[in-house]
Amino acid sequence: MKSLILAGGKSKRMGRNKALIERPDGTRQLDHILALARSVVPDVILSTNDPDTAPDGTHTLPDLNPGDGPLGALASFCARHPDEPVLLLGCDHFLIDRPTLAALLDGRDPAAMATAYPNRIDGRPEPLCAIYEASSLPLAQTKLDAGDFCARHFLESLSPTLLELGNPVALDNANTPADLDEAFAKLTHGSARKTVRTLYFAKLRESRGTDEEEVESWAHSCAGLYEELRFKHRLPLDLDALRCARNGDFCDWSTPIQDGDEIVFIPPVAGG
Amino acid sequence: MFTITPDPLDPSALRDQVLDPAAGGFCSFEGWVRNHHEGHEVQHLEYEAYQLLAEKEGHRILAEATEKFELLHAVCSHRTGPIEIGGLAVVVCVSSAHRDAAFDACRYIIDEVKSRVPIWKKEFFTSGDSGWVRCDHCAGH
Repeated sequence: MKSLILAGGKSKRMGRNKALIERPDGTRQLDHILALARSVVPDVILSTNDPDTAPDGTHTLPDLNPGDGPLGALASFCARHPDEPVLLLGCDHFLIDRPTLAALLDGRDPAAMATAYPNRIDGRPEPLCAIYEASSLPLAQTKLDAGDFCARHFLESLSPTLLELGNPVALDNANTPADLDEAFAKLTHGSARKTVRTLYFAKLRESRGTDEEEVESWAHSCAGLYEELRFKHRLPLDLDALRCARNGDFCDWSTPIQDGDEIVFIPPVAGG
Repeated sequence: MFTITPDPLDPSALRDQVLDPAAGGFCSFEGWVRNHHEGHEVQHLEYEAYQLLAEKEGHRILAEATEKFELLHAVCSHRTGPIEIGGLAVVVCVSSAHRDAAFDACRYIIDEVKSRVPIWKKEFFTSGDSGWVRCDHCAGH
């Protein structure tokens, strides 16, 4: 087996290359992921169209058709190594750890087309930390040819064996600077499950279909909590449009949440 | 005193709250529900508020205005729930020794209330459409 690290993403919403972000301990995210991958699958390939970002001695694999995303990387891998299973890893997993990768390899089901973990919020398989058996790889190009670039759709179409995620936040990804703050807070302070009450008003209330609920969350901050809920319930407003309040007063998005808190997300106000 | 209430507002009762023998000027602002918005015919409005924080933030605004403009008294009341065309949505009353402060403070209070207090307004149009102001359309108003 080889591992294939995805480092060719555009990181548009983050505003900078996620692979080059410095972690709280000073290591570069790309180097961190490469080392983790190497610790479980020594034969590592970096999927990138910019080989200059690769550390010396790292094998790189450019896309046959740049812009096709993760499925394009799998198709390019398949063209080069048609008989190899692959551990596919996105380089924006800031919270992934060695036990999560080791358990994925231990739990690998070669009889299935793929082995993966479920997303902790919606239960759907996580495509960018998964083992794809060699038999599945030609189907990536088939999916692309059909016009479907979605890696999650692809993985779901393979009916993967799903394992239990030991560290629930290990696969939390970070697409925006606020997500990154949340991920780094979890790295620095650890993560714990808490129960909070959330109140919804106006457009959020209508969209959620209730004016309050009790929520179990692994989030560190109010921003992390909102992103969990937005993802889970497909809430229609971006964090940037909102303010938040904790226990009856306005607070910063970075404010940590605690067990028993009452958190309110405040849509743009329009009194008068 | 800043209040959020589902009941119809009583402007003269609010005016009475700012009477003071030391006052030489009184100013009030009433926000009315109008029958049109950006070319669309409005049938009625509905307001909702996060009452706890709305009253807290409202008090802060009145305290700021009182200090900034040296007011004698300032009150504001905002209604929630459905309000028909012509109904009163909000009333501000202030009193001060001289008129300049009363005019300026009244303007300051309503502007701050509109931009800071967690109150939301849903417009129901005669066309049957509806939408949350600043969430669904007309961002920036």
